[in-house]
Amino acid sequence: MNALENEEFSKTYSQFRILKTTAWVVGGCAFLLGGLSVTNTMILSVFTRIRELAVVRVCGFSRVQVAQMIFGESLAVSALGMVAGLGLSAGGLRLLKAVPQFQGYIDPSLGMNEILGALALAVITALLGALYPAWYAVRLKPAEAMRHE
Amino acid sequence: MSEPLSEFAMQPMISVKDVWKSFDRGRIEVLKGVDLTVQTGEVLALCGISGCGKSTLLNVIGGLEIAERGVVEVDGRPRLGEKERLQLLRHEVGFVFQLHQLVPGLTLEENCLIPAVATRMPRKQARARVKELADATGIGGRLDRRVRELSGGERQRAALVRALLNDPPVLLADEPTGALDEQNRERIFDLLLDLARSFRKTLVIATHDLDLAGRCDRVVRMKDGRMVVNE
Repeated sequence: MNALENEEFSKTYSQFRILKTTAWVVGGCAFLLGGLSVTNTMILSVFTRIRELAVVRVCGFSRVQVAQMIFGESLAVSALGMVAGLGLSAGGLRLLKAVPQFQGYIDPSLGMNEILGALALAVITALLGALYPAWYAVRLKPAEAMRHE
Repeated sequence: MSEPLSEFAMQPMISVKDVWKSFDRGRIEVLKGVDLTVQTGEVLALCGISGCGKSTLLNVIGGLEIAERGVVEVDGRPRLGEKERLQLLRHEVGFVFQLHQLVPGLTLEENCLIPAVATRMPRKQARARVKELADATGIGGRLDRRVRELSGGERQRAALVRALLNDPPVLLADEPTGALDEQNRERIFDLLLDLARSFRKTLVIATHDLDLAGRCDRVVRMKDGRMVVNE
């Protein structure tokens, strides 16, 4: 009979490997859904403010400034999501830590690496999610958009 | 013509030569060879029924639409590229529309500051300029109000402040009193004329109100995309 450390056990045991892969797949789906949510939010934001965007163009905003506005809003939305997500994760991890059956199998900690990773993902999601809305917004013709109902 | 042209009206500020513009891939011709010259400091009324091309002409002069043929010059320079049109919108023309076109979620002051954000004018200077213009238009005490809290006349005054913020030499007003009641119509029109004359602006007003147009230095009538009377 071989005695294994918990960490060693979790690395070699196939069910844990499947669990890990599943976690990555779920994470990837969450990333995709997050990106789509940001895109959806920003598309709605642009479509409901077409006249407003026309006004800022008439007042001298360049296409670059309009794009900056859209990407900036998207980053702000993602930053809020990231803060909320980190808060929920920290709470969830605390709960897991309190479950005796999981003791030793998982390491419920939220370190700098995880926070930086979440930040990087939030920025990437925000920028990718805002690409189409920004492209749409900068292509608006101010005179036409001003007549938009 | 209520007031004579002043001594600074010496050179053309706006020059439009044989300008053509159509929409819907050429199916709707709106401007058909328009020629127009507006002197520096002149107040010109552009009259005609709806659909005659007044608004399109203003948009072409202000760089919001691009003419398919012809030459448009503001302050002696044609505006062909994106960069030149941006320069035009930021520093040389201010637009006032029939509907105030203020952003509903912002305060009156924030709305008036939009052109200053575009030109990256220092905030302190921009706020001082807004205050000065707001006082001149009679809305100095309402700057912290949201758009929904303002009357139609106050909204249009705010639109005037916004148009004047970057001190453009040209003001283009598209039916600026069209959405106002009679009393406010007179007041806003008078204010527009006073501001243009006191700040030495070249003003082009598109209107179908001949009474109001009669107060301008010159009246130009348009019909079916062409100039018909220049008086």
